[in-house]
Amino acid sequence: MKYVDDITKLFTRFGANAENYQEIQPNYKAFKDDPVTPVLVEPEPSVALPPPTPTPTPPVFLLDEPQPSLLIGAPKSPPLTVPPASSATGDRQRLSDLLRELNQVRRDGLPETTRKRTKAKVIAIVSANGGVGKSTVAAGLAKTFRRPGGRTIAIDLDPQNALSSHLGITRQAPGLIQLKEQNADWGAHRLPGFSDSECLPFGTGEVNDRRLLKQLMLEDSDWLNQHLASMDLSENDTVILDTPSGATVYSQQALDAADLVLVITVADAASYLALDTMTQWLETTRRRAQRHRYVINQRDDSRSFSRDMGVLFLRRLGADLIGTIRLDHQFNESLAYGRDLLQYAPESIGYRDILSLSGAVHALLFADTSSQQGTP
Amino acid sequence: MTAQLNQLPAKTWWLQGLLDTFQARASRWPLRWRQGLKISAGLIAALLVLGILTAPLNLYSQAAFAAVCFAASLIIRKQAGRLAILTLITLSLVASLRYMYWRLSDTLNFDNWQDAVFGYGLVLAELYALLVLVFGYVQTAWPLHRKPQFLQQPPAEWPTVDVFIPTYNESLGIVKLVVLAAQAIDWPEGKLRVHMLDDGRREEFKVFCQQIGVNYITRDNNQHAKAGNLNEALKVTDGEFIAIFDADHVPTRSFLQITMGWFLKDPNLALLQTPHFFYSPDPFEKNLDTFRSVPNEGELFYGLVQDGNDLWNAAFFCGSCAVIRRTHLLEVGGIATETVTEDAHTALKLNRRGFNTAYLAVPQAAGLATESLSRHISQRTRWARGMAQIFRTDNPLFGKGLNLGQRICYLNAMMHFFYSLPRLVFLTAPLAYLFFDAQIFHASALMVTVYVLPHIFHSSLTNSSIQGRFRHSFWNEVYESVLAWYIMRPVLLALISPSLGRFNVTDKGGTIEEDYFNWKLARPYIVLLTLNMVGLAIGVVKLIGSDSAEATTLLINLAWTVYNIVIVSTAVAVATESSQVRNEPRVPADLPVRVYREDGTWFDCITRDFSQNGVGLALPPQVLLNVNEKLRLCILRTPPSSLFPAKTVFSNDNVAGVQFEALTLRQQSELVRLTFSRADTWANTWGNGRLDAPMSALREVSSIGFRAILRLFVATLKDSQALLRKRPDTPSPIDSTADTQRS
Repeated sequence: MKYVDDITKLFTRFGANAENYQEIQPNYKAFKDDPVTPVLVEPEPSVALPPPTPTPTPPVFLLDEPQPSLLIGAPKSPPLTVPPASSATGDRQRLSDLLRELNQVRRDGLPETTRKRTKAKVIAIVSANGGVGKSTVAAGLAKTFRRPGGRTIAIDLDPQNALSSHLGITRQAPGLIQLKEQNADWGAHRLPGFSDSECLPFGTGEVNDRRLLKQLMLEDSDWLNQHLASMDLSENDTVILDTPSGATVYSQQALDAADLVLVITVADAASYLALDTMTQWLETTRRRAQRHRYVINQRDDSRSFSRDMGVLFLRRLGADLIGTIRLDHQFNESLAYGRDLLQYAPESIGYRDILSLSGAVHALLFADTSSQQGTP
Repeated sequence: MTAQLNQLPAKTWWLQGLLDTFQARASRWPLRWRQGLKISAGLIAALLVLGILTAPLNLYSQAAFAAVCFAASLIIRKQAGRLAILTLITLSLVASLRYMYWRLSDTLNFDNWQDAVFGYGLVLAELYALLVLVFGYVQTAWPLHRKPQFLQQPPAEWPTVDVFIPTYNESLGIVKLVVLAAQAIDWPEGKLRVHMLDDGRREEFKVFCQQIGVNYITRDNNQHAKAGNLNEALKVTDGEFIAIFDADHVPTRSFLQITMGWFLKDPNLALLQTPHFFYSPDPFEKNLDTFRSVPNEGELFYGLVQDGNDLWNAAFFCGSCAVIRRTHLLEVGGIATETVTEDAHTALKLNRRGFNTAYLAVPQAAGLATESLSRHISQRTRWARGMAQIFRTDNPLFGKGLNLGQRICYLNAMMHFFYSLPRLVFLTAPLAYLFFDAQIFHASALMVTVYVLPHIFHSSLTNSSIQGRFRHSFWNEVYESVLAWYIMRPVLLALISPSLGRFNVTDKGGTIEEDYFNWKLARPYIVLLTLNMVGLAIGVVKLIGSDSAEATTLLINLAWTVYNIVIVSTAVAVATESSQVRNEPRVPADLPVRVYREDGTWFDCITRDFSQNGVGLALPPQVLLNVNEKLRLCILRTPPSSLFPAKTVFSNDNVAGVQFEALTLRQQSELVRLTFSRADTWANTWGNGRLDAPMSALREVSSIGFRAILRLFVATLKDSQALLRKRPDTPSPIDSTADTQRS
């Protein structure tokens, strides 16, 4: 359907050029909408927690986002059951202890068995710091990882909303922001991406929308799980979750849903240092039957420092390092031109590395299905 | 210029080409030559016209002269271009002025006082009509067709604009739309300030304004009504420009970028007016079912009259959909408060002060027309009263600061509203002869015919050519006849004492539950209709056994009476209010939408129309929606809109009506921006009307009138029976007319 802008139509009437026109989107900053005036409101009935929860669930406590840009209206003092000491962010050790406690409470309070979970395998892509190529890896897996008879759905939990572009989806479409309510039908909003992948973007919205989404996630640690369950996926399907860097509400939701957590890191000092925090966080939130694996991205073998760092990482992670992806500028180029790497440069090293990662993940998830229960 | 684009590509007149060539050559001559040529040509033309007007001709030569002129007109009419129109006007003026000269010099020798009273009464009415005709030609001969001037500066240099939305008793549902649309105008943030001026001081309005961040202004009195309200807001705001929208005029998002360019180009420009466009039918259109098929009153004014005024720098303010420069407005003391038509008066003051005013014929806002006849009448009464007040207190013919063209344009705008008495005279004039045998024309019937007919035919033909798509022949008579009786008294009062009269707000947005016959409003026309019918009957009786000279006179008067019956019966038809079932007027539009259904599937389709709370969908084949099915609608554009939750209200083969459900304010705002705020919706239907064809217009008016007479007859029977049964004692004003009707 060809869409002709109303301005163009009007200007054509006077034989003028609509290029002179300045489109100015209204900002809705001043809008205070009816039911959501304050940030802290009663949870809406539709997102009430499932019935078999005798103890009131304290909201998930999270490290705050590392990037200031993502500090979007998280409540200044979340209604925690913990003493105010929690806000003393300076004390790292103490904080992680608290976290552990909290998560213990949460897990005990809400036994997993009572929850409805999706049959599909869920892979969460996380990282401690930004710019390590999470979306690239997530998109790569979405394109290459496929179970027989199953589909792979990439879900973007990152407010940057970049994953859909990696999968060649250019048009704006409603995403999680719009589909945050429990009754929203995610299945209907999957967009077709490169190589038969499917994508559910994060979506674009105003500050207030993101705040609402975040509020929902804070209130319901099972938000993502329930949505995934409602998608009615088969056991042959795979869900790939792209998350923002660091410990955020979004990544927390992803961790709570994932069967496999892939931590993406690059072989540099900053990532090495951030790895500690990450590991700690992952440990505190580990679900039963969840595996954690690491992927080194953008390894530049032409530089000795990068090689050295790679060795350090390998020593540190050991068998937990499931894959290494070498630096490949084809990734960047194909993204810029909206091309599918698979078609555009199937022989590139980056692509080959993605394929082997995909294979490794497959082997990990499905080779020993029987012994999975016992795996730490 | 929109009109120009839509006109059929008629062939340019060869004479126009010749003249253009000559003009091009003459422009190379020295200035003195050209001036000399102009003056001598003017003198010769004036002498020639004077000779033509006063030349006494006998019956046959006058008939031959008239026939030649009329034949020439019929040929010239087919030509395109300015010269053709001017020639038509000249021929029409010749016929009319010749008639008037003959009328004044030859036909006023009355035998007795009775004849003299009727005769002079008629001749005065005719003089008025002639004056308005001449002024009308001056006004509309050469519409300026101003084009929008686009902004060349970067948005950072655009001026600040205060948008005033004065309201008094309109419902929030209506005003909301306007406020949201005003906020959505494409103008830099911080430079667009929307203010709601609530003279009703209503709490829910205040809360609404706070919710969406619009400035809410009230005052502690209601002095000078709308004018006072605007002036009060001028004091507490400081934008360089003021855009004014009535509480039911929804602006498009392009409003300011289309209108502001001229202000930046011409620093002396004080006011720019755009058309008032209505997306709901007015009582005429509704009751006669002529919406979008016959142009309404406003279309002539905004399509032609204002555009013609613009040539003379006399475009005037119409109270809404206009932009005013603050400094210039303050120099004339703000909005005028002396009269009840503050808008026209303010423009007059601005013009007197030497500022320019402009008119841009691009509908960039749309509103609700008055929805019932009584409200329509009260609105027009206010206009008429206000114009009469200006005529008395600040007559444009006198006073400083105006050029001749401006004086004529303003004067005609005012004199136009004095039509009531002359109109009533025309509607009853033949009765003087039929009832009382009064000889109001002291001339032979055939002489009258050869003078009057060219006058009438030429003026009709010329007006039809000028007005084309913006007015259809005979409708003007219908409009004026309906209002004539009601406007007469206030206008006469205001002419006698301008201080009488107050502002009355035209209330809009109501519904009429069922068809009913508005007896009270129709009463004057029923009386007129009855009188004319009786006159017709008397005339027919007299015609039997009259000699040939008398028969001609009788036939002239009978033809006139029949014409009057047609016009008056159509006026009666207007008084039959047809029901307005739909609360919200729907606007036809074909927007692409994607509809997400409950079962997770989606389909793309086109809308048929939209209203404030819903859309009509043209369903693709094999798609059937269930009533009450929950949907989500996404309007496809780049970028696509949010998803609007909605519910199916009705659905049949290929059409579904969908109503939005519980939209947040943000969603409402976005929806307004994508529907009512669209830049092109109103401009698309502007000037696209059917061209006037006088004969088919006459047929249309006649058939409406005939149906009205039948309906009146039925209604009379029904109502009088009901009345007789229920209250046999109370004498009803309807009974008398009912009886005469049956006789």
